[in-house]
Amino acid sequence: MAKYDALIEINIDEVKSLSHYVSYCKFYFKPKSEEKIENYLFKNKENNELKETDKVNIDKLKKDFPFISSSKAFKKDDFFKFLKKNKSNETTKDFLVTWLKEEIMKENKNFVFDNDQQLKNVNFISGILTLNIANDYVRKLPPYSFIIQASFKLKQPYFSKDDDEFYIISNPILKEKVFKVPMIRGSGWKGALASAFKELINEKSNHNERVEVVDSYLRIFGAGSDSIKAIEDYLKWKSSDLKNFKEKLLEFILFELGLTVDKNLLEKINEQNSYEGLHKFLEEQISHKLQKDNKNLPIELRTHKGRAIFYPTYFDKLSLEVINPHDRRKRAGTQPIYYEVVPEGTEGFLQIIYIPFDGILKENEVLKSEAEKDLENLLLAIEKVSQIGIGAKTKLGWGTFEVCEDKYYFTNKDLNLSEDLKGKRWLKWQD
Amino acid sequence: MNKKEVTVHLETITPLWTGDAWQENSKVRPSSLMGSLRFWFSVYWKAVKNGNNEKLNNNNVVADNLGELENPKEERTLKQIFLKRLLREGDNKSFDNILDESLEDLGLSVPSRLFGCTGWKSRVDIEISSFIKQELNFKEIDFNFPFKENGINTEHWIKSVLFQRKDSKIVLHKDVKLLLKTTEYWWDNYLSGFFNFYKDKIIFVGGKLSFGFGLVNIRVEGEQNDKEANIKGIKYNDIMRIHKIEKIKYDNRKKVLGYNFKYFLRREEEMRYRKRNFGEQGAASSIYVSNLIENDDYHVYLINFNNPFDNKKVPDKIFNKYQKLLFNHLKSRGDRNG
Repeated sequence: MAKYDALIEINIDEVKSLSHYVSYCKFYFKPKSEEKIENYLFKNKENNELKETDKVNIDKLKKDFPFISSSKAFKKDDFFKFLKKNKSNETTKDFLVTWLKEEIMKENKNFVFDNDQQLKNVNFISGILTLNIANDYVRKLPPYSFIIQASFKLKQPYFSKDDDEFYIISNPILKEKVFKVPMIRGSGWKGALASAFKELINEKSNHNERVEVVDSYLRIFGAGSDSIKAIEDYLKWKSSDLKNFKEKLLEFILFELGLTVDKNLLEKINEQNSYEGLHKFLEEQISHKLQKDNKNLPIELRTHKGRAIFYPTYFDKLSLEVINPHDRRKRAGTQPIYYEVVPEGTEGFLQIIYIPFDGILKENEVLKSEAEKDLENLLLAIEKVSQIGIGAKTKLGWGTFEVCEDKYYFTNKDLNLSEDLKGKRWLKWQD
Repeated sequence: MNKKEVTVHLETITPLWTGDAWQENSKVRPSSLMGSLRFWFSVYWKAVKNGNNEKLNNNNVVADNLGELENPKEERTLKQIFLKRLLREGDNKSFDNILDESLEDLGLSVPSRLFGCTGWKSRVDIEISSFIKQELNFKEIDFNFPFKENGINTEHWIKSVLFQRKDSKIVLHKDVKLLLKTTEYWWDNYLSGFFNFYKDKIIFVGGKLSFGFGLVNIRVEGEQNDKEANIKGIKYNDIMRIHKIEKIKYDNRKKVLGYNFKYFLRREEEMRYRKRNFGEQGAASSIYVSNLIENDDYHVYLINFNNPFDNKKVPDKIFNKYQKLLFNHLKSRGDRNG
């Protein structure tokens, strides 16, 4: 039996597939100290002098820690030199990272698994559609549904943290739970696009246009927060707390719609002292559609599910980045912190499906114009996210990408795009 | 929340090194530049503006955390403070201004407000727009100059630090331009002053500083550009002294790294002051010398940076001594060649 029970043997020369890679990073036993290796190699440690014992012990060591036998440096002296070079006087932990960097990722500094079965499986199971299927698929959906599909290429590394504690890298990248493929979650896309949408809203100087984009935002992403509930309650006469309503309204405008508040808007909110006044205000600022009959609030101002479904993106490359926080007093690096990232240049695939499930009772024309606006705004938001970046550390430009040539939307009815977006080569898929 | 985008030009006096996970300088890494900018902003904020600074942890690394901060008077969250201030003062103050004051109420330091901390997103984003690659060949470097007589040879150190994985050449970066994105409020109130302060000074950016790399003059593009006007002999707030040694006669057509000069000065210094003034492993030096710069004439910069976060200072007298030492040596060597 192996001396250290936790050891899980992996043939580290064979780290070729994603599962091998993750096993290496995740389960590979970390011999905590040089001493443990010495326990194998040297029976007696007298007067700080090490005495090498028989070959059997060396074989045991190799068996338990196969990376040692893979190391070119495996000779009695060189091995410790090798550990020392990797700052491993006290722990051999760094050895594993060094090995990962130099023997697994090698010169190109990437770990590539583009033909991996797990990647194929996870794409299939997540419902990411190929071009032909997408076209058939959209026909089965309610009228004016559409699917957006685009390949993109990362301009800078992408990182989003996984909460895996047992990993050789302190900041592992977010991976799909079962297949362990690095990913951007669907919710990640939703969040990033929603915040880009807020910028779109703020960019509109024309008031009516702004209200239209707000409507579109609420349709696509849905609403369900505390503040919208409070607004809903008030408009349905369930609550009459005007002060609370005003606060919630402001919260909604500020934190959910992300609107910049100017002097006028604040004054207007402060001035309102009656239901009618606020009703009018809402109509002006958030939705044109507020009806006099307060039992039928427009869908946008009710808690509701959004129309769009955001699919995850999976990647086929991994690499490492490092940051080294510096001691302010000594002005020298403390301890390098590694990040497992998807490197720049990696391609990914974005898919969004929009289903106007709540539009059954709406007139065709109304629904069409809504879907058109939503499509247009979503595409603009994608262009925006590509500049802002997705994931963590966007302040460093991480997560920015460029949308590749082949970008399409599929639809089952006619939806037209503005010339501007057509110019950016967003095209309707035709078979 | 009017946006502001400025192009910041890092005019490299000596090229940049920003090491990646492989300790190779394969690209200009924004995290390195951001870290350096933040450090120099902190220096400016602490030593020039006398402002509050970041809370540090045991490793003396920034530990500001918005979630941990509470208003000492009334325990409220940022959201609440912000809303209250907005309703009270929203009429005549900008959005960012109110945000800034709310954070002041909570006691978040200005550098963290600007560059972000746990729970607070940075107000400054950067994007590298251009840079020039430059190769440095191992064979091109003069390891002896100009101290042959003293038997100083730095080959071992330069090889083991800079060329450890590839023995022939390394890549360095020159003249980096970056796009700095923020909003007008933060620019006007903090950043423009910061850039204005450093425009005629040298700052250190990236790594391998003791080898002479990463000496940078930072400028905002489009602003008055009186190159080299003031860098010559400058001293501010006892934080930094810069001295330029000009007209060095050098006829060996090889590159000389700042490390050679610094190594010489270090060896000349008494043992007990060596670590204090020239640093050691895990602690940076207070004295830097640039690479030998070959423009119209050969020159180097001798720089003393007294870290305001630390209390060790190199006094004027010592700096003058180093200055003289270097000057005399380079001069006498030059004379011999001339």
